[in-house]
Amino acid sequence: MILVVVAHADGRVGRSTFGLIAAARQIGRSGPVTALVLGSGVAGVATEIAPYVDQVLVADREELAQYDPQVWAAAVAQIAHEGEADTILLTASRSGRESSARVAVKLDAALLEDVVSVVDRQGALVAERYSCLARVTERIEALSPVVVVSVKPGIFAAAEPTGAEPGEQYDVELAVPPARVRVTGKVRYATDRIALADADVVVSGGRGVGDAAGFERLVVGLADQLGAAVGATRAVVDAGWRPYSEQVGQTGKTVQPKVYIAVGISGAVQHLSGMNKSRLIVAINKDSEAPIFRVCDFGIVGNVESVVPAMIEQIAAARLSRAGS
Amino acid sequence: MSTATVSHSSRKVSGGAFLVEDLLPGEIFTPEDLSDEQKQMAEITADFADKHVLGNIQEIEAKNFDLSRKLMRDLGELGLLSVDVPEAYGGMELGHVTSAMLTDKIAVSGSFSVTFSAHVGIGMLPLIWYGSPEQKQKYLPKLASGEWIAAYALSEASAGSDAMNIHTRAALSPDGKHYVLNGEKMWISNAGMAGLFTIFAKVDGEKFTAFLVEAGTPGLTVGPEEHKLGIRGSSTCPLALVDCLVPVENVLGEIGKGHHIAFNVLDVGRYKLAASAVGGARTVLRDGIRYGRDRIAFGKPVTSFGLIQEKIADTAADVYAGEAAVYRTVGAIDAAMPEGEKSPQQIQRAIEEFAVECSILKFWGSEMLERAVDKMFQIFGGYGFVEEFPVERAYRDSRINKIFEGTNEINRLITTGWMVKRAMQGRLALLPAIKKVMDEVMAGPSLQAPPSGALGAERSLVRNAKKLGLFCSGAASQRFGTELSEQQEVVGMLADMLAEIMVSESALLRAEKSAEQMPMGVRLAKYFIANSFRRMVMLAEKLVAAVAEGDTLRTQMAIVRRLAKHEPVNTVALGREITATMVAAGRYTVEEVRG
Amino acid sequence: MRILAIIRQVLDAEESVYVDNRTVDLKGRKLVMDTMDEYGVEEALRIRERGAEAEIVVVGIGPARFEEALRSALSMGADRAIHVETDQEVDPIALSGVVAAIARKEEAQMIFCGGQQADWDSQALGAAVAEHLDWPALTWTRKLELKGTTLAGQRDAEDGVESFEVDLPAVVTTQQDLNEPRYPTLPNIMKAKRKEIRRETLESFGVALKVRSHGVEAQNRERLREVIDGRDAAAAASQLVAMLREKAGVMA
Repeated sequence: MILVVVAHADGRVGRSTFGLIAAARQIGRSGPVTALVLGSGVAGVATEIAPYVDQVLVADREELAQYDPQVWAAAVAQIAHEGEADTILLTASRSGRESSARVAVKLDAALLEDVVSVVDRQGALVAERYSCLARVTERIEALSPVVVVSVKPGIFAAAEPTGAEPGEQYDVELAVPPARVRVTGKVRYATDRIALADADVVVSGGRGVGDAAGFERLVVGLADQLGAAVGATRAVVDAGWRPYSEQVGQTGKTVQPKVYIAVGISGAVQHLSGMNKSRLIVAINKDSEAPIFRVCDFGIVGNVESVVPAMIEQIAAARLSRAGS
Repeated sequence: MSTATVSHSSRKVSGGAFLVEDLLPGEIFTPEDLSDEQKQMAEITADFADKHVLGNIQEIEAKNFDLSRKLMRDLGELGLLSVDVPEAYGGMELGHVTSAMLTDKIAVSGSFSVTFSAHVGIGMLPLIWYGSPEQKQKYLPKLASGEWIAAYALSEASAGSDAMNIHTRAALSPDGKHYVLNGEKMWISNAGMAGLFTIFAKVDGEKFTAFLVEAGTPGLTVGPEEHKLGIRGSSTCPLALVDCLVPVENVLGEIGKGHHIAFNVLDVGRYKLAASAVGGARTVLRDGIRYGRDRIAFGKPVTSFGLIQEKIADTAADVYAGEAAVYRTVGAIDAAMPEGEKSPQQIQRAIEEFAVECSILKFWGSEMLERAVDKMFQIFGGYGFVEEFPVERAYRDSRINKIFEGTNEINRLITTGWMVKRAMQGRLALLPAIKKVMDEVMAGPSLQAPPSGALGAERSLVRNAKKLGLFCSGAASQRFGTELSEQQEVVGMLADMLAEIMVSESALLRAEKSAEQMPMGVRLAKYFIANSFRRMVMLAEKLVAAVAEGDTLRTQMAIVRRLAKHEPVNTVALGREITATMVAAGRYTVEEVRG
Repeated sequence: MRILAIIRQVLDAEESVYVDNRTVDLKGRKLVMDTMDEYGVEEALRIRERGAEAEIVVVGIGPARFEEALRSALSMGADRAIHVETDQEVDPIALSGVVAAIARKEEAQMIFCGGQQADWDSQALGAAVAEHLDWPALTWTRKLELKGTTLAGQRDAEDGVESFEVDLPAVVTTQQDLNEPRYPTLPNIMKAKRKEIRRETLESFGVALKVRSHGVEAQNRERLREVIDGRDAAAAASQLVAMLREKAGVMA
């Protein structure tokens, strides 16, 4: 059995989960592709995922209402063990990576972490992943029969429904340990913009935009024109201009959009490791020496304060004229 | 602790001996001999310099002295200002090697280097060496923590190189409690942020004496900041002393013995200047390599072009040889220092012993930095000329090094003069050595196989360089005798030859000492020595032409040619190899780096 | 209380990566303590400086060269070090077993480690160690305060900043926001010379590797690097907009 742990939020299946299912189908291991839905009040999630998989296991319990890696990992491991799953797939989000490490320890299994490809070769799972601050691709092989795999989001194209009957749903029994960490408060980042991981175009800003208002005007302004997601560097987030959820880089998110536009970003290695897989990289910076120009496809050495507004104006004008014709 | 951290088998070598003796590799101190702890200190200092000095360079250059002072306090907290301070006063007393090493590693900005060196070097050393226990107790903790910045005030409008000619006067007050200072000082580094000045004045118009003067002392006025070509982030002001009352207990050392203080401190200032020149050259080389690697011209990185590669190789070899010469000298000073408590006289003797090396390091080091900056400037092309680029600043900053701490002209005169004086005193076996070379060349060519080993050919080149130097010294003194000092151009040529010999030999010995672990060192030394020897031959020809004519000239030229004979190294091919490694590393390195 | 800080020695982020024979060539490169781990060492020191009685033991599992990084941690102020010396590449899950065994033996109450290793780009170590010990883990912390045996603080969650409380023992993973690591002072560097580094062999832990590496490949994605002068902002902008439309299909 190939177990796919379903990521969900606000009663909807997370986009990355469909990529996980695609990965599960092409991995080359036999056994039903099984979705595992953990949470509280997740019937809708189970129904949504069912057409994509062979079967759905649902653990709908109040204790799972809040995500706790220790608790979730215990649940996943128990189900994997009881269902004799040989492959357990999770999304390599931060929380997914955290619980996948725990699941691997619990099952005494290998962990293939944050992989961009994974396939069975004569019984052994072989995968590729980026390492060394995303500057090399490493090929790794699991040495145990049971393997936990966390899959980098955005790599596998979303799976289509199987076309067969929706997978049957089964409720599973669990012995859930109590949560040890007491969450005493949470400040959520609110955003109605397209998620960074899902965007085709990302406009990111660095300290070179001057201040929070400059960021809003230049980076958000350009992103609005392009229907793009907004990203930011560590420095910008540290300065409090933008929320952490928009941070791209080693300690933030990893993105690989079709186009990445870096505005006023110098290009520290830690930032580059979060975006260097983008298909086309554009950089605008006044410092011609900035490292970002070494990794860009197209660059403008100039003042962001004059170049970006000119772009916004031209794009808006082009759209207007298209709308007019 | 003192020199206990220096682990090397250094036989006591006397100053200037490089010209008349051949040393074995084990007999000099090299950067490779730094202890693990010293290397760790070096790394921290370099990291601090990159993050906090270069990271704030615009502020520093804009004369934000509050920031510079804060950086100095940060360094104080790390113990980096206490390296020369005796343990009895809360310092580390780690010796000259460690001290030079920190000066080298902090040197990423000319401005901050001057602030730093003027404090820990010429600023603090007079007090450390000559201060009374009470004076040290009172001032050293404040200076070691960076709470107070120190400044050294010797120069005056009409007394720069001829420092003994100062006009500042000191007179004992009628009550015998104070000295009353009157006069003006100029070009005082750190003046605008200093808490304590070491001011030189003549008591009763003749007795050269040093005084410790606190900022804020009535009658001491710090003048406006000078607008300088370079090192703009450092403070340089004139001082006005108008009936400035300095308590008698603030006389530093003895009345009338101030010149010892001034000159010894200057010797240290000179090797430190060379250490910071080496650090500066290493920094600008890194900038040039990184820019050149990323700068595309004709579809290729500019570092792939031969004429650019040559500049990188030249500079890398200069840095290698410069490191070798600086660390060798400070290693020798440490080895000459007695263990434990030292009297000012003992310190004085140990440093004076190597005055010639210090002067050579000063002029050679400052000119090496200037070459490095100029060569890297070319890699930047037009961009280098623009203010936002670091090489523009480095170019402006490097210029002053040929002027302060004794102009390069003065230091050249000191170099040759010191050797001659030493020989006259019978403390340096110069005359026998000259005679031996003369006898040898008169006897005609001898077929001697070069020494074996990876650097055998270089060993014989350095030996021949010494012979050329000795021969030229002989030729010059034969011609001018005691009037030699009047022939400044010839004296200068001899100083340049001595520098080539000292630095080449340092590079040779360093590379030999680590030849097996460090093939890159061998390459760098070969490259440096080959080019140095070419310069040596040119100097010899120029000198001979200036001291002889007719048949004598022809004979002497024949001798020069015979001594110059060697199989030349292909420095073009070698240079490409060196550059490939430097570009792969993205900086100067003595390791084998591939990329 | 005993605090373990787990560290690794990695390629300095400023250094470029060169791959030869399917391995990253470290020869002659600058190697440093993984900065993510350094925040953990610093935080352990700060917890002690804020009044907790703690012995801080720094642990490194890797080749002989790791000793430099261990020395740096000792110079920062850690009390002693344990070096499990091995040239073998040990995957994070296998590594976590070794750390857990050391933690048990040392009766540790807290374990710090970096949120992500800069060589492996792995985030697994902290969570895996916690699982071995059946401890909670606080990952990606940005603020910590120890009151008695209760650890309170804030951490970065996927969708916001979480405040938490947990009773020790616990694993804590660290990152850039948490603190500003100190430089070792010169006196502390000299003192560190005399601090103990206990050497152990990997074999004594009976580790079974879970993952084998088949080597790495450099990502030589050649970028076009077409860089233009933007002094004429309007002209530069229109060139860029046209390029985005033609080459990337943006606004097509």
